[in-house]
Amino acid sequence: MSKTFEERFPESASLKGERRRIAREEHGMRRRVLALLREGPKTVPEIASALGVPPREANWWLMGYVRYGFVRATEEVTDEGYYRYAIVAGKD
Amino acid sequence: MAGPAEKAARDEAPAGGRYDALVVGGGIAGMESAVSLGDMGYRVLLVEKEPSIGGKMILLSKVFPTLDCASCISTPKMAVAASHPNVDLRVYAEVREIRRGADGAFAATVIRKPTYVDFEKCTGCQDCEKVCSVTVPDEFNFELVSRRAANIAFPQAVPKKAVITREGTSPCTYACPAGIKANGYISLARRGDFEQAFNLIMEDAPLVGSLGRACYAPCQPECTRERIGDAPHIRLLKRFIADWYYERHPEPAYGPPSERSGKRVAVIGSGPAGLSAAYFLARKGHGVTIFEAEAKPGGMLRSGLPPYRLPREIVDRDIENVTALGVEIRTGVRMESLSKLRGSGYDAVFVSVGAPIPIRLDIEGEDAAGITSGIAMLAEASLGVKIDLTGKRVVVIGGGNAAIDVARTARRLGAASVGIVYRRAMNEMPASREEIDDALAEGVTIHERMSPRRFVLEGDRVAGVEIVRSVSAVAPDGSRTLRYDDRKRRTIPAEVVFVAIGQKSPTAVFEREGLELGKNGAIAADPITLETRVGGVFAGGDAVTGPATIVEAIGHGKRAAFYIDRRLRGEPLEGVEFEPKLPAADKDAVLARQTGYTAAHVDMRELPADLRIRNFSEVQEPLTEEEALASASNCLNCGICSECRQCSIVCPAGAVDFDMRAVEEEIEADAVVVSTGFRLFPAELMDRYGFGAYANVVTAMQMDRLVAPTRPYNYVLRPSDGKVPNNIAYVFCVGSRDRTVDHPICSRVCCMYSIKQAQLLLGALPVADITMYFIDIRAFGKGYDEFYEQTRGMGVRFVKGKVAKIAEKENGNLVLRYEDIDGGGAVREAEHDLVVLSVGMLPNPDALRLFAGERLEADGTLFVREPEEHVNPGRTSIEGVFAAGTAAGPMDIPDSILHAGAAAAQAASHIERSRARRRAGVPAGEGTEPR
Ligand SMILES: Cc1cc2nc3c(=O)[nH]c(=O)nc-3n(C[C@H](O)[C@H](O)[C@H](O)COP(=O)(O)OP(=O)(O)OC[C@H]3O[C@@H](n4cnc5c(N)ncnc54)[C@H](O)[C@@H]3O)c2cc1C
Ligand code: SF4
Ligand code: SF4
Repeated sequence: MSKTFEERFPESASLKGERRRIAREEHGMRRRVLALLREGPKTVPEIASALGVPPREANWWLMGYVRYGFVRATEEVTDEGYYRYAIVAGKD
Repeated sequence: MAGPAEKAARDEAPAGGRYDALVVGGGIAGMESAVSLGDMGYRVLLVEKEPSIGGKMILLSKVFPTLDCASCISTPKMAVAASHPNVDLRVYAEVREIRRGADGAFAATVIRKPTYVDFEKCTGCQDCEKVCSVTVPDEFNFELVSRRAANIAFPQAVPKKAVITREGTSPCTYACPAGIKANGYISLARRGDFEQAFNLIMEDAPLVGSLGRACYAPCQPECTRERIGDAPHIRLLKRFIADWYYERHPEPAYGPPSERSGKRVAVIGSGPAGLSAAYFLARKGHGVTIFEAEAKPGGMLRSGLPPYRLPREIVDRDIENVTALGVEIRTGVRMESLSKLRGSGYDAVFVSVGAPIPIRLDIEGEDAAGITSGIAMLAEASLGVKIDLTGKRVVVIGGGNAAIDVARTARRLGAASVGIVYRRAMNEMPASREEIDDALAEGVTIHERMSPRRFVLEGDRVAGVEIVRSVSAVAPDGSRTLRYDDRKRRTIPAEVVFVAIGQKSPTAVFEREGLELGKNGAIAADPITLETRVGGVFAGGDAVTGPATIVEAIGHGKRAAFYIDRRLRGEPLEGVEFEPKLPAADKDAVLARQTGYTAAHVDMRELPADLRIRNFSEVQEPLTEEEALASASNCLNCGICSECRQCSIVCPAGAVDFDMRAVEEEIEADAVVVSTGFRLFPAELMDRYGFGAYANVVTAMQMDRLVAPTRPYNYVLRPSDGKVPNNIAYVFCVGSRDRTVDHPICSRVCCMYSIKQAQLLLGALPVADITMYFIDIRAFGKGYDEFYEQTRGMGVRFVKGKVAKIAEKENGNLVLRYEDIDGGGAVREAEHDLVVLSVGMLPNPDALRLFAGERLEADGTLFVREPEEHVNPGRTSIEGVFAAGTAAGPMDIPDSILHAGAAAAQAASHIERSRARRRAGVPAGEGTEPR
């Protein structure tokens, strides 16, 4: 078996790079997302379409805002199975 | 007793770095081996490359088949490993080159990577994370969300300490002569924290507004993003930040510091160098007086820079940043005696008199009327003296920034034509390219490769300049010289000529007081400390460098202030580095680590050339707030941490330390336990399953995070759009038992962890459908088969079938094509809204690279080979080296612990034999190891 580990199991640089890009944009999007949520709680697809970004990216950022206490999920889930997210008091 | 974290922070190696055993890798296996050996009384060094011990297990949700919470059972083990009196712990550390020494013991180098956080001080409060301005994918959540550059790995981390991810100094920041953290203020501006951004710049330079307009911005060409386009407009961002701040703070928000040193410093000259030195000295509590010969402070900022580049209100407001600290500026005082200052009680002097004296051409006719120095003209123009050039033909001689400023000013004063005569080629002009382009746009012509030979006069007035072709040549000693070709000669008519070929410093008066002067009166000063030959007298800015730039002068002022402060405190100047920087981040590496650049395209706007030459209005237009946010968002955060310093501002323990560097430790040990664990199969290698391309195809490791109590999302949600999934599929054996991906072996845990996750999912999502696409179920351990049957009984569907392909639908759902083996081999399709790939275990190749001199052998699948697996588990191809846990092959947690116990026992007996051999004086390697 002459091939090295890296030759046998190369990790995808472009996949990692793509995630890095999405992560990097999180802070830059925060004001826009919070401005939107000031209008009232919204689901990920609603936020994504209002901002014109892929829902996957909106979800990624939103989970970051939840994690660091800017946004919280409201209790109920919509009929389609989505949580609504609201600004945490004091963060707007 | 000290808590584990405290102990870990101050573990010190025993004398000579001599241990009985070195354990590499602090997962469940490594911890088990280390603690067992420690319990037997051996001195153990446990080295872990991540910031916390715990390995993969601590990241799991629950464990099969008991469904005990994984962190509840691993945290006590982690605590014991960290606080055990016989176990020293090094986290965020690497072992390099384990070699065998003369006495048979192993010697190794352990490198503690810099965490930039002092573990002894850090309390684990996570305040730094909250304010950090940089977000990167969170590897501890398998890149489902972001973490911050300042980060505590996970809530149960041991030790629970923050680590800052840094990959060098961002190229922009690295390029700044004043050490301004460009990446830092850009990161803060990106999220709209303009006030913090301003304050960050103020840590390095008080003249924020002036720099935001007139800095030649050496950062910009260094910006990595210049290579791919849409680089942030770094200087314009600084200008935006300054304008934003000044609008809200017409006056500085601070006064003089309350603590005074009682020392006094005199600064001669109030240009950027002097102002900067005064500012930083005053912040240290020293009393500072600036002596300025002119009527108003600012040096070249006021008398040299044309107002179309730097409005005077900005200079005034910038200077208030300095005077607010209690700095006194005495204008109209030409200070020419150092001894007088000494006599008046100043403890140190900073000479920053600049280089304001024009250099003459020394050619025929130079004293005629109509010929003046460019620098004098700029000074007059900025003082508001009326200079009327209407209808005049103007020639400017020189090629530096001053020459360009003179030419552009002449255009604004109504000149009919403006020509620049420069002796070399245009692209060799020392002036900034941006300025040259602006001048050309404003109708200035450049006569390149021409040198003035004499002035043509009419009476006592100048009427033209005779110029000849000059040819650049390289002399035998390598220096560049000019030859003149007198055959190519012509005269440019001119009523007004400005000579701007350079300036010198008014420093002759200081020579008699012991200062050493170089070319054009430049003061000789130590390049590090900026101290001159005369103790206590420092110098900087153009007075030392010759005509240079604002930002270099500011850098000098800050540097001198640092060393003057040390002088005043009686501390040595030698051996202390001023603002040590990490090497610049490697741009190729930066571009390689990310793909897909969304770009907010932001145009820089200038007044059109025909409008701007009518007056002295600012040429460059400011960014709007939207543009500033967008331009800042284009930054790539090249060094990862942006050095925005928010973490060090909020840290209540003062633990952040940017000057920390790697520490190397030499250690010795009789035995080595390799417990470097496993890696996960990169699921993207199975193209047909679409991992990476389809957001709702996740790995089982990601699912273990999603169902863990410390999950990255607020609930179990699918990544594509945050929907609660209700129809989940598992694809077994991804990257295991598969020759097409060169990994033919069974990973032994995937069946069981998938079944475990199915049970947990049913708990979280009671109405969800769960389907398992398996080849055969391997449930061999104690209670495992019962667990499987129980799961079947709960309604989880098991489909014996190989999944051939996964395709994505528009709504993010996934269509699986599979061969239904029990259904007669028919090919069927099924739709699910989330697919989990049960990825297999790969070896960690790190294990095989640990040793120098001897080879740690691998088996065919690259796991560490155990030559006597059946009789001596844990033993490897190297005597004295033992493998523990998944470093030796796929196994689950109970097996890893058992195996690690066996490895510890083997290591203990090896240690005993080594001791006996040393006592008996038997040389190493001679027949002591029973085989
Ligand atoms: C999705 C999934 C779910 C699982 N669920 C279960 C379950 O429910 N029950 C169960 O029994 N098992 C489960 N397993 C298996 C379990 O994770 C492993 O058995 C266990 O983690 C093995 O422990 P280890 O210490 O051998 O390796 P690891 O956990 O991989 O630990 C190795 C450690 O060594 C460190 N290291 C690596 N290289 C170096 C180096 N050069 N220098 C210093 N340190 C280094 C690593 O950072 C890591 O901390 C699961 C596995 C997966 C993938
Ligand atoms: S300096 Fe700024 S970017 Fe760097 S770790 Fe601290 S807060 Fe984060
Ligand atoms: S991309 Fe950002 S961090 Fe990198 S050099 Fe440019 S401005 Fe600096």
